[in-house]
Amino acid sequence: MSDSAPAPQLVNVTIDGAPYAFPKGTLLVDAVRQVGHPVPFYCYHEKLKPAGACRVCMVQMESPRGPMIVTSCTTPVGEGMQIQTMSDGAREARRQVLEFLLINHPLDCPVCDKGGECDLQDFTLRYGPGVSRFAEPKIHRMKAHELGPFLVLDQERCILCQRCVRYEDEVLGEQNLVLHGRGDGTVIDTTRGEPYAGHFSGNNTELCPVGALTSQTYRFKARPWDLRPTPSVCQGCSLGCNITVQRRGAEIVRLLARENAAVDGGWLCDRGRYGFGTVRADARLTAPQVRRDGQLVATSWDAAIDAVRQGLTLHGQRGIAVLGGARLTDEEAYLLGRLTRAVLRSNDLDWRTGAQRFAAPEAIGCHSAQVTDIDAADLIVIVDTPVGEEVPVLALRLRRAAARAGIVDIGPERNLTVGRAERVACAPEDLAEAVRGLTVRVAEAKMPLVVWNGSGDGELARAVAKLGAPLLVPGEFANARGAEAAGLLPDLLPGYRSMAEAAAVSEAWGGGPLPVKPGRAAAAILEAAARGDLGALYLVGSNPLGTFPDGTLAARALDTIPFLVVQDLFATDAAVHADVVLPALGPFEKTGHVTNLAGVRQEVQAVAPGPAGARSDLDIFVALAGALGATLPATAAAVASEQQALGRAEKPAMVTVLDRFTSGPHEIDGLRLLVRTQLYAGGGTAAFDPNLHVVRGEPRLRIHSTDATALGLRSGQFVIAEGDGASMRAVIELDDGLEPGYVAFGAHTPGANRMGQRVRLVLAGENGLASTVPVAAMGVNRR
Amino acid sequence: MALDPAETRAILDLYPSPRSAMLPLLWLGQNSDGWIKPETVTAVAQLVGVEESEVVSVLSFYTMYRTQPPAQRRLQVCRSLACAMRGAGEILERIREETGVGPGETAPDGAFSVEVVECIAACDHAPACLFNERMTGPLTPNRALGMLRGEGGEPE
Repeated sequence: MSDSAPAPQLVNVTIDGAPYAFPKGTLLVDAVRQVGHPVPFYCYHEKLKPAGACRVCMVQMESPRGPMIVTSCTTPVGEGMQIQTMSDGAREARRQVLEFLLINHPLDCPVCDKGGECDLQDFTLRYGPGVSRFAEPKIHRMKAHELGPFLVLDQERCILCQRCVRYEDEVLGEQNLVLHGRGDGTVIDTTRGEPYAGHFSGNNTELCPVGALTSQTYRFKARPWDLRPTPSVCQGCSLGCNITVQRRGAEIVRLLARENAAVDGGWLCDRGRYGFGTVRADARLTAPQVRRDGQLVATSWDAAIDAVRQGLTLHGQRGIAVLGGARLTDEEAYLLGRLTRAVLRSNDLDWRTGAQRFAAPEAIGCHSAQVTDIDAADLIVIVDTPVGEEVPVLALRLRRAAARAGIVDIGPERNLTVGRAERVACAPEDLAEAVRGLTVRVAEAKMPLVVWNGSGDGELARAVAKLGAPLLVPGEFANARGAEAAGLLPDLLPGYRSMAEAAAVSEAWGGGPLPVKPGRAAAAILEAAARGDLGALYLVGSNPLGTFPDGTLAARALDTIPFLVVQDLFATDAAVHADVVLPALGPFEKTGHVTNLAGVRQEVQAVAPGPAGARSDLDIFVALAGALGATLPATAAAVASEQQALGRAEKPAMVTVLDRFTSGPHEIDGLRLLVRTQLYAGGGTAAFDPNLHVVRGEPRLRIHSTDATALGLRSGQFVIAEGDGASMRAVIELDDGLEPGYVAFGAHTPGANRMGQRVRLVLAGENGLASTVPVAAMGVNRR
Repeated sequence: MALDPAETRAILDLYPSPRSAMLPLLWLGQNSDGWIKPETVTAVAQLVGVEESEVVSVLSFYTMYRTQPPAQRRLQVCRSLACAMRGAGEILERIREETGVGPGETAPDGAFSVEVVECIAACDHAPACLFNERMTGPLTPNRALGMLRGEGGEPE
């Protein structure tokens, strides 16, 4: 046998009198659609297994016993089949099914969100009866049943196609929605009436062919025909799922998935789908602010830019450093690099204001993987990366792969929360050893793949690189890869050029020497600032207080730095320290490109104007350069063409991954404290997004149930974690995905990175204040 | 213990696929506890190898599984043709008038519940009922009320 896939066997079928041939196994519903004889369907969906539940896709098939009516979604093509899609029998069968589907349907189309894009409306008009013969009263059920924070169910409109139930089971593996009851009493609901808890509820609203499952954020907001669509890309995480942004007038009312098979597979997570509230959030900065007599006061852009110029001139002698850029577009990141190096003449520049150390696999000597490689891999190693929280839609692909491929899941907690995986439990400092232990298995695999978010030290990076398998880096910042390629690093120029190529870059930037001595990385910049060895710090869309692993260092740095400029969408806790605050535009408000974790460059579109007083980061960089006597390309297109002309280095240089960057393991009452990515914990926009407020809730402290029992803690109980550095209130969440011996806070939870070395848990009293009794002193068994 | 291990084993052994044992195992739980407790659902899901949500869904399909603790006295009034014609509706109406408890409801103190059921194969006793699973009839409004109030009249 040859290795190439055999040509699919073709089956001859006659459809409405004309002969066709289809690959064996093709379903009739697809066959008739392919040749332009559409049949209606509700339960059938390309991404779900056939169910034959709605009975509306019926066609007529000739058989030895005469004409038969069959459901085309469950019948594969067969040799010699003769199909009639529009025979009297087929039409009558569909007409009757549609009449039945409408018996208890409320026909509240005039107030239904789905009206205008509803398959029940459309198919009834095309294939159904004009009137109903059913005169009896309709059965009433729950009309606005809130299933969860985002999802609302109208049980009366539901036609029980079970797309949602099957999506939950087949795509998510979560079974959040099930059928209850039977006959005319059948309804969809959560298993036990509990709130829908998953991260992917919103896809149900697009799968639902009728107006039964609707979004909390979109209910009664618009009619579909009033909406204007713009294709764009989600900037919630580093995957970059493709979206259609729909506006009514100037207001964004909803986001829809826009399938890109190589990226998202047609799904969105709830944070991506609903995280557009930032564009109208009350908390947005609307005017530049400068510090006068100790107070931040609103001012004009000209005055603010001039204040930055003055501050940089005054304090620049002692050094200027720039942190951030991994949330910008590619163009803006590139321009920030040029501004810093060519105008501010500094190499103290780093996008790595969190735990992520690099973005492109090549940057540590690995091969880059494509997202679709997950589908073909036979061995997938997930290294200490909570994929479902970090890059939710990628996790769906991994869950599907888990049914087929071997998954090795390494780290102190289960990374893949749904699906079969082989756990290698190990402490953070033992990760490299665990990775090295897989060398032989990875070498023996046909198509191995490693998934690692790049948060770790140099030893781990070397261990991962040594495996020699393609790597995906789903990191914590949405456009880290764009920032890295743009050279927002102390020792790399755009296109992964080493500092030795400064002359070539300088030429592209219109001459003028560039500083050639490598600058300092984020940790060194913050240390210098904390020591008083830095004159000015410019934070661009970054808040080290919330994201830097050693938040105490970040706090000292911001306390000490003589001149601080913060450019952001919101008044973050870093902005409170600022001498000048520059309000920037955010996602949905800027046009440009972003580069996803697999290196796919995708276009984002401005669809909302943003606050009147805010400007795009690009415009701010241009204005700032102008004030300092330099001219930068002033449009995204001009920047992109300059960046493209510059291209990549012939031999791309690697990123330096420091061997140590955190302040060592923290302990809570004998348990190790982990700070782990948590979908809505938010250090970026999620924290300020009113749409996501409902799911953000209290900071959570996750703990294994055996440890909780030993400490006498219950799920839902409030504790106060008191550290030498900071205290924070959190609610206990039992999570047996976490190994015993650990507790975990969400990354970017305010204060989680500033707890200090020793922390103790104190039960919070009824009033939310600390009781005087430390948990560890309650006479319970300690580990 | 809701599910007796030996009986559980015996039921599982009856079927080539464990999934087929779901309904009998639920019966086993209901017969020993009087109703199907949440922990029975969890246990059955594990025993037959499906998600809990599937067991819940199946459970809701069948009306004779109880997912709430039963009342002390359970009256199930037949409403099929013969019983309906012999006054089952009037009996239910009287019960509602006198006690405020309608079909499908339980008295606030949990002392009794009233349900309507389809034919219980006792048409010759119409209007017939089941009282705590035992058939009796013909039923009168007063007898029904007496049984519900625990004042006698129960079937032997």
